[in-house]
Amino acid sequence: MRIVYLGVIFLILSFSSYSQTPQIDTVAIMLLDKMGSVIGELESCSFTLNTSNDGIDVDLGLIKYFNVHQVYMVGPDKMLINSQGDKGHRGFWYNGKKLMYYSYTENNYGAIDAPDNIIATIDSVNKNYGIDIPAADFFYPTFTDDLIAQSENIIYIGKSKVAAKDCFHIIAESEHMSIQIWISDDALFLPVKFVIVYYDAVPNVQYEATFSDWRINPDLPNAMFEFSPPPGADQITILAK
Amino acid sequence: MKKVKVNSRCIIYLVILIMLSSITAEAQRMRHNSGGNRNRSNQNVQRSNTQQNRSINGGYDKPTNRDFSNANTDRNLNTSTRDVNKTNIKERNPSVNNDLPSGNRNNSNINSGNRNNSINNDLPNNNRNNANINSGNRNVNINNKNVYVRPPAYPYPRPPYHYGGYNYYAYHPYHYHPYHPYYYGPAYNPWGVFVATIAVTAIIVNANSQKYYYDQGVYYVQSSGGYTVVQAPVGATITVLPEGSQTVVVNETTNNYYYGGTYYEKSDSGYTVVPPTAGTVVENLPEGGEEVKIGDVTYVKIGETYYQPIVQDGQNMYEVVNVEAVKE
Repeated sequence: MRIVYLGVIFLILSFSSYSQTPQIDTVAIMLLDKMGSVIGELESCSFTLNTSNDGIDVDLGLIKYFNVHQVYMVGPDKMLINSQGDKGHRGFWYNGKKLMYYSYTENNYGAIDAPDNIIATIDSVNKNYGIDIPAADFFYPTFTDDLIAQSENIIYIGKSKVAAKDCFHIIAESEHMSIQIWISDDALFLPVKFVIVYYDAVPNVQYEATFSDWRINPDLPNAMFEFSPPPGADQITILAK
Repeated sequence: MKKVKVNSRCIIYLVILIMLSSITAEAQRMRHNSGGNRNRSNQNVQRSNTQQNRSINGGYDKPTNRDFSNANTDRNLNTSTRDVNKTNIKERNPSVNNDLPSGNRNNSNINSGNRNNSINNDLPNNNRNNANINSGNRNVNINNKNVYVRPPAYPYPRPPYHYGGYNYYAYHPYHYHPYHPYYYGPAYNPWGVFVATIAVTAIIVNANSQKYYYDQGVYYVQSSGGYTVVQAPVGATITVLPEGSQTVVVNETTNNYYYGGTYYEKSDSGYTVVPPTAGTVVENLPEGGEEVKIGDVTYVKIGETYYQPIVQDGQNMYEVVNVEAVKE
């Protein structure tokens, strides 16, 4: 199957012409669609995401911040995120009704009413509370279309090696940002890495994330998505935007 | 000259803040309203119920035929032809208006009982101040429209924390420590609490055409069957400070006297209740407050005032936060 798929890719490559203004590269779209299709068929998954992002300090310039996130999802309505890094050690538990937040660092917790599925919840908490779910973009069912809608160019750059894995390297760019995505060159076409460079900031700031420890359709118990406040934890109010 | 330097530094901070706020809004997120180029057939939406119910995202939306009307589907891997210099990158030059009215965010809900009383301190002010306090088995609605934070004495040396259309200014860096209310003694009651009787030593204090009862740092208004503790009314004057009041520095020439979340200033006739001044640092916060997570920062909200946990000289303290709405 993989050979057939790669064959299709090379067939398209062979029909390439030499346009002056490449915009939407069908190979890139095929790869993105393949990745999206695989993710869309997952009933559960887990992965680790190592991220870095830049902050700007007036005196010191760019400062790099690092975070590590462990993400667990069970469709359609269970999610657990454990994050450690510059924002402290935090957890989010989504059980289909509420998103519970707990700060291990501050030993306090809060609850947010959530929609009944993962994507609506990701969208809701980001819009209303500014909470960024790690690598959330890749789980939107319309990921590729959204990328097309906001990009001027989407190009398949070529094969690349990231974290000892063979990858397809794609870049999508607009006047505001460039998004580079590395998709694994194996049977699953899962995302391996992505980098976003924001052109609007001076100097340009960058967000980088690397996936690891992908587990496909693992058997995850429902109990792990239920949060119980530890003894002594304070309940706090989470203010919406 | 020094002032100009400080101001220009503040402007630089603000410019960067505005830039970053728009960036962080989608820092890890692309736009997902989606479908500008989508040309999806209805067949595409048909998925098996099983897949739709069990998939982590409801299943991938892949159009059967995409509309690449603007796209050149011919690939050109010669990247040297691409304009990598991006000369059309927008140079953002955000205009920053720092001259904003103090817009304190004041909606609180504190529940500790269920009884209904309604108290309106409806004094002229533009701040959003609606507190809903259920205490002592009574629901007490208090509209405190006379509370606000006075502007800081000096420009802030650090950019504000930005969240949800508001800037949160503080002189000291955020340093979380849990909110443990300070015990002001048996005579102290937090705002919103209903009591059947008050001490016979309570005196009547008039402020803003309303009658209050004052006893040992606590202000009451009469309500059905008793008295309800309210926030100290700005403008009320007492002759003797409550025992345990602390002197807090507001600026080089002014001190305030602080007791249980209330600030007093020396006046001709005694000590007059004033709003907290942004940047004032206090050691203790009274009971009746709540911790509020605003983005990545956990503040303590007492009445309508936000306090940022800080450390000063190795001691856990709280700084009055200046909250300003960002003018779009």
